[in-house]
Amino acid sequence: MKFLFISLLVFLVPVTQVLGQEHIWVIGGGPVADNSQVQIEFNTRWVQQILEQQKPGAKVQYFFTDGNEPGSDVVIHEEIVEWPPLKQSFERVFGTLVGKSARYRTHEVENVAGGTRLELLVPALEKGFSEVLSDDSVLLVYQGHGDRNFIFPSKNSLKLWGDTRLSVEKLENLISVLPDTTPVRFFMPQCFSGGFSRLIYPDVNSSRPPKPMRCGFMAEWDYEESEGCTGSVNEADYRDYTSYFFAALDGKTRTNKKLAGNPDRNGDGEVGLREAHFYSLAYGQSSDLPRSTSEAYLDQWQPWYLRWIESGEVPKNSYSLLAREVAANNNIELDGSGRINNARGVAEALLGKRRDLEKRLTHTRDKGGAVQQSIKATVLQQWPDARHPDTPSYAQFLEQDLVAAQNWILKHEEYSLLVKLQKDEEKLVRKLLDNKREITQLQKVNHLNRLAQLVEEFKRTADPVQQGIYNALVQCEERPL
Amino acid sequence: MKTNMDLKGRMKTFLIFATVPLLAYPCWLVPVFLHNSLFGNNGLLMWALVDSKPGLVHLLVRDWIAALPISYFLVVVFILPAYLYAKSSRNPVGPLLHGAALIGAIVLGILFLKDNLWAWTAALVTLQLLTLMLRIQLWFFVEDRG
Repeated sequence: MKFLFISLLVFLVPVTQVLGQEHIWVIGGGPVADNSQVQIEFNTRWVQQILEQQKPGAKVQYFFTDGNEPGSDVVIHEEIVEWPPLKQSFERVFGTLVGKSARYRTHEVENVAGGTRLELLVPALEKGFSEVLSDDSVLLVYQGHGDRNFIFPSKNSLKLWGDTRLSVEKLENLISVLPDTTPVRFFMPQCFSGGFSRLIYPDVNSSRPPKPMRCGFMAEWDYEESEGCTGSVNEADYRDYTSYFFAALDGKTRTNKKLAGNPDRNGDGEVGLREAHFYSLAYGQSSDLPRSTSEAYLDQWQPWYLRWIESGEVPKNSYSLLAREVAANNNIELDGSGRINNARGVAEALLGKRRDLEKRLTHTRDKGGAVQQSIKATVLQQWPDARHPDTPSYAQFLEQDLVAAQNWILKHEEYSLLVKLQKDEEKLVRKLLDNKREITQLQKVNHLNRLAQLVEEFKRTADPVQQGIYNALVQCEERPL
Repeated sequence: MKTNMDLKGRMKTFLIFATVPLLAYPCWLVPVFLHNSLFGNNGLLMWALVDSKPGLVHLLVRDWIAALPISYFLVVVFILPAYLYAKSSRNPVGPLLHGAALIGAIVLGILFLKDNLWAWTAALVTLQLLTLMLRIQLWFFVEDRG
């Protein structure tokens, strides 16, 4: 009976795609201005542009930070190295960020329906979901930060404006009002987003079978941070899941460059969400290891005795092909069975490099902090008004003595050392990120090979109901935007 | 006095049989880890080296809990009857327990592991390891020297 029900749902997917209204909710922004980096805003605006081009008939609603309030809700981290030396000097000694300066402004996302503060967003979503009919379809796109729960990943959450939280459980409760026949897809690129793979279950904490009409894509698994929250305005440097996923859907990168490869794997002339996910896996030079719900379902299904067992050659299927692509794109050598050659040696070399970089970073940071404090103390001795930024005397200091203080800092005997240390620190942070990205490519090959093995095991041993659910999830993921 | 001693002994035996299956999953990881270290290129090592530690703990706990029913099944259906039979018939306990563990591993293999040879090997090693631990505990705490 269950099998018949699932077969029926699988059959319904292409039908509903043609018939109903498409509803898209885009929810974005950080929880507070300091943590609402400009990349989140840029991502939201870029996604908006793509949706407007590709989904002209869809009913799209945008919710961003404080909605249409005039206050500052986006932070930009300006590179101070591009500033004149005089202006740099004070920032280097008194700034809280190394080599950067925070600037705030109000967001520039257009057609925003409201804010994301939990008490505003939940009623808006409730109202919107109640208007969805059974042959409509739903797409939820999130752009922002995530929070984790170490013990229960079903309590992982979205960090919304006003530092409020929307957990997996609460979001599942919200979407549970949607008709069972309505395809619900979601895109979650935030940290710890893997927890949201549980949205496919009717009860996130039980082992009841998932709803086969729900599917989604997440930037990372339940316990890992993801990329995508830099304060830099240089879009060419963005390497988050959104940048790769939506580039594949758009047919070009966000800076209008040619894609690194063809995302249309089945050659039908259309790029489905699953193909965009595969493109992100194959070409993503980031520290993200994205997952789809069908992959999370396989992982959930995986019996305890299979997880660490590796036997024979990696079976040939879409995942092992993807693993080979990742290996080829990153110069990772594979052995005859399709696994990483000397995996342990390669991983240990990268980890050794990481330990070395971390050690150097700590040393440079400590030294830089000490030099900064030393210069700061001498400046404050001469201009005590600069001590308390919340007082009127500080404003007076800025007006009357700032230039003198800047000049004084520039001539300080330790200033050139401070500049060098801060530049070194920035370089080391970048190198550490590159190292993390390299390690991720290794993990990715390993992860994809494991999925290749798991898919075959699943096909061989899973019962028909489980097979039906998996196939429905894959079909749901394969649909185009 | 003798009855009290018997009761105490039975209680200890019961406790040992009840707690030993909890060690089955950690025992299972021993041959798997050894195999991966020696021949494989290994999910487990890669994880232990570079991936999220809280995530790894979560997976191990989840798998450990998932392995408990089959562990109890094997111990209660195969190993415990072999022990009781050995005691009542005054046969040596050791060979019977190891024999029962072997049969349990074969049943586990047929039911779950199918044609996965490494999993079969790991299951055989695991159950023999577990039986060895069981015997050591019985030897220490119930003074069974069979």
